[in-house]
Amino acid sequence: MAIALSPVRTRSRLASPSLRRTLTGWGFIAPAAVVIIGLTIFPAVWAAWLSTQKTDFIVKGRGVGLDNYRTMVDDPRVWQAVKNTLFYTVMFVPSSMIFGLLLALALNQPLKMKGFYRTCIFVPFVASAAATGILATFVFNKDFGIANDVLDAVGVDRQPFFQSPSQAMILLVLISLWGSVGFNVVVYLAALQDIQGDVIEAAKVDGAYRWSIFRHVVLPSLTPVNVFAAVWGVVNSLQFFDLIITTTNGGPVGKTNSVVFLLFQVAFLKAHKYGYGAAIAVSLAVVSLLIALVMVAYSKRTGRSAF
Amino acid sequence: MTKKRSLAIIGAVALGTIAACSGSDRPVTSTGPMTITFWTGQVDVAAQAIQTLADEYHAAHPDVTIAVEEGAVPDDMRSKLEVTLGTDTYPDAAYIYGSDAAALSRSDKVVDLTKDVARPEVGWADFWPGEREAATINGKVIGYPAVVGNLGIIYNKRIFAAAGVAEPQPDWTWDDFRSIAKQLTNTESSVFGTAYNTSASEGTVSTFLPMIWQQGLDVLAKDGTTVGFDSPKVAASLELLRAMAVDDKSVFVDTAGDQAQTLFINDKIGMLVTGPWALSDLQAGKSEFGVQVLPGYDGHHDTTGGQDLWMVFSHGDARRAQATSDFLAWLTQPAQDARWSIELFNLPIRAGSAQEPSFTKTAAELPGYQQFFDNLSNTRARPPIVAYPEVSLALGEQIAAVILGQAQPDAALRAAVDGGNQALADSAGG
Repeated sequence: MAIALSPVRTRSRLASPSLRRTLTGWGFIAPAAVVIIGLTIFPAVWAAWLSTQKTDFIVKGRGVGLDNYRTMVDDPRVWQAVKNTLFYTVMFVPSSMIFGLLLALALNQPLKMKGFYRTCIFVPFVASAAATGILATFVFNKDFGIANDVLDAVGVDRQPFFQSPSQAMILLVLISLWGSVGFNVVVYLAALQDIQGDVIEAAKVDGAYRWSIFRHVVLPSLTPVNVFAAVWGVVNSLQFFDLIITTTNGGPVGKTNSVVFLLFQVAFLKAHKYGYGAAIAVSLAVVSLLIALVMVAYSKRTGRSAF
Repeated sequence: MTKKRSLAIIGAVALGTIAACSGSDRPVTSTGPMTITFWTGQVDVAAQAIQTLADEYHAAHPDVTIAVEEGAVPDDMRSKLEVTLGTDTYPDAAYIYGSDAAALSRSDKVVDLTKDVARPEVGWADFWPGEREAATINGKVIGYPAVVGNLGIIYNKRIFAAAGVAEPQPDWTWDDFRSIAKQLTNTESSVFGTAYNTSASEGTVSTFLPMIWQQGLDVLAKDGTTVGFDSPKVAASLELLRAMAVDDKSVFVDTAGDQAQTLFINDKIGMLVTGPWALSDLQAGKSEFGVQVLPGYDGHHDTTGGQDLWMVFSHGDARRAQATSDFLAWLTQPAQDARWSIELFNLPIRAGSAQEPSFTKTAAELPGYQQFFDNLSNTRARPPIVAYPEVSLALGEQIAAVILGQAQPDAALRAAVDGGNQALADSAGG
């Protein structure tokens, strides 16, 4: 307790008050900094180095410069995976935002048992994608799944679902939507409840109809949330993996193979080419970062800051 | 604060983090009691069986304690070893799939067991030839046999009876297989003649390899630099599968490769290509089944075997490596194998184990066990080469495409051959 009782002596030991302030600041951020450096920055730097190696870790690897990246450009699997991932992203992100907003608008109305509906919509988000995927393989089984029984009952032809190269990815988008739209609902709901009641009152006094209020009052105030939901959705879509491994394993004929699933195949499942896998991972990270930066910069430039 | 000082602090934090991530050197035990870490890849009853045996070994050899751990699921064991072999956290022994042994054998930590297994008390010649082949890479023995299995046909007696079809005989052919599958198929009651795993995983390929072997071909050509299945005979085999799946619609397409067994138990699938590991589940599911060898070409009924190994890894201490090898030599003796393999409904790993009383008991209680045991004489091993998993992937994707009606057999075979040759060329380049 000597320090507390004699502040003058303490001050004399440390060179200056400004240094002490600085150290205090660092003291506060140090635990988080250690975690970020140890678990994010160090692995990222290491992955970048690994992407210049040819190694399976069993025997000493060798540096191959940018060869792994050159191989990637010529690898048809990579381009198919990029195409699949973009298809998924373009399908998933807008629909998750639109459905999220529509459901949030519905839940923002004065309803009986509102809490119950909100919980119902959020529960699938809490369920793990692995469980969702396994469940989906049963529901959408071509021969024994309940989905085809329902189609039968309403007189629609039975569908091949996961066995069809043209349907499998669309089905994965739908399952993803079911699993994750709850998150967007919560975000939009919070944003809707943030809109000041008197703004809407003022619009009503000015004679605005419901659609005009939505179009000119509600929608503009949701812009920051839209930017957030879009960036979040895109970044997550680019990392699409968990549903694939529990449903299609990238098939049929490679039509649901995403970039991350390909990475997993290359590095862990079959080839054990860690350098090549790291090159794919680094490229994906760079692309994700660029997309996020462009979206954030755009939102800042147009004065619709979301982050 | 100056920029320089901030950088120094960030640097110090980074170094501290790196130091925290890398382990410290473990002292090497060269005298006195020692602990051997054993990654078995097993859980539940199998892990318990190993633990019991390890405890008994410790009681007889008080200096040696066996730390039995799962380590990783067998599918991930290679990856886990790859990342741990560079640190000091790798085990003394581990359970390895035969198809991963070639890649791992390149590590300088792998102990050469050639001299150990030559000791008369090991009885190396008593292990099945396929297992000895899988354990020998470039003339060096790199593991003790751990688990052996093979593929046969398990058929559903209720479905055969309902369709009025005679049960398959040992001399049946692939054409018989097609025609029986067609007769068993009943769209009204959603019954399929057979099932095929189209996940393009090893499960897709292992049921196709027999069709290659039975026609006198091999996965690799003689010189080992190209694949050996580039033949019209193989295209014809693919065509047979295509016709069954697309024309006859007698094949349940198992996209994730995990539903066929449940459907078999529910009497929805007539014939399943699987191994002895399925028997106890089918029996528990009250299924009525019989077992037959795979259909053949020209009287050959070669089948794919699983030859899994216990591999030994050196920690720079010859005494410890020797103790590990001694333990595994003991574990694989018939008396122990009777309790490890046979009592868990696996096939015996050596001829001597089949003389144990528990073999007779299991064969009597578990239908089909004897047939899978007899099928060991048809069992072949996958080629022990590093590139095998990639050759397998190239082939598996095309088999799946053919069965899904997305590719014609000739074009699919062309693609599989090209992909396989590319993988072999890549691995030859180091």
